[in-house]
Amino acid sequence: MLTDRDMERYDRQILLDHIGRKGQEKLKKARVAIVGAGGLGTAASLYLAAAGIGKMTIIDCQVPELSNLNRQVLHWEEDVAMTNKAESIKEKLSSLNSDIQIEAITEKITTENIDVLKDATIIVDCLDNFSTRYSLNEFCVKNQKPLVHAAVEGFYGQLTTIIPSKTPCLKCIFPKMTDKEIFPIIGVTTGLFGALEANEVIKLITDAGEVLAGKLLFYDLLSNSFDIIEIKKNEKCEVCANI
Amino acid sequence: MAKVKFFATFREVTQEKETEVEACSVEELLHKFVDKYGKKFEKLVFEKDEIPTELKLRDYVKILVNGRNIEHLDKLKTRLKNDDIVAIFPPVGGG
Ligand SMILES: [Zn+2]
Repeated sequence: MLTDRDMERYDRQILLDHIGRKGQEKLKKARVAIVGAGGLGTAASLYLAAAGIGKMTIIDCQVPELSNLNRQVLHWEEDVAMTNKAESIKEKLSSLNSDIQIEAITEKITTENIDVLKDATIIVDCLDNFSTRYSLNEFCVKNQKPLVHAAVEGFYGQLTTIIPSKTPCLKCIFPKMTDKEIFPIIGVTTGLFGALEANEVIKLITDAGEVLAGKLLFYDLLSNSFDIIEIKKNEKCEVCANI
Repeated sequence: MAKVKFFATFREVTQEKETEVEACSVEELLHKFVDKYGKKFEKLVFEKDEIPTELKLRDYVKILVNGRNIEHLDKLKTRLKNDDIVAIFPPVGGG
């Protein structure tokens, strides 16, 4: 049930036909896990908290470094080497929206502890490496949880929404990805893609518009070009073929 | 003719968003592109061993034919037919 304060706080989005009171109630009931509290996680969690997601879990094991601050804009100078990234975001977002529940998990997600994501209805991939992404992908496919994927580098990024048993999974689209320790990046790219991930989550919850299911979006911020291509399932996928 | 879409660095090197090409396989298509776009394209796409015996794609080069990664098809030998849509891109991994 929405309170009077909810009605006022979310007034401008409740005005949208695509959301309305019903949609806002769905947002309030939703439980979303944001895996990674770096550049993508900052922007995604900021807009999801502002939109009134009832319960958010933010997961990251790292501590903010000075070189993170060009893009991870919810970590500030006072946080550098002082706190955990998930805790840092929880603290900032709790003063943005004290009406929602925010949980910080300060561990690295592994196959051992991945069950902490069991309660989430939607999972947002804000990771910076594919080895953890593959574990997350397997978990989401096995547990039939929608996974919103984004990844970025430089002025460039990609986005798709994986709906297990309907769409291709991450392993279908990006088999054998190798990881880089350090990648060059400008903050606006993570900001844009994190916000686009939040938008996918809001649409999944409220049924507004359409999500990027079976579609891969590329955006090149240098040339402002935007492309969407169709992606297909690998019938022999080791992760999703028999689901 | 297959329709080919380039993304990111491939777009920068080819200076094209998309093109059409007559080719029977992905391998032939890439050879035609090396002829058309030159050394820069070749270096971007292929690993160069000391003695090149077999062409090998660089790790970051991903090719989809009609939305399917060629890794799951016949890799470089993947056959192409008329109106196939080929996408060539370097997926990114940062966050
Ligand atoms: Zn799959």
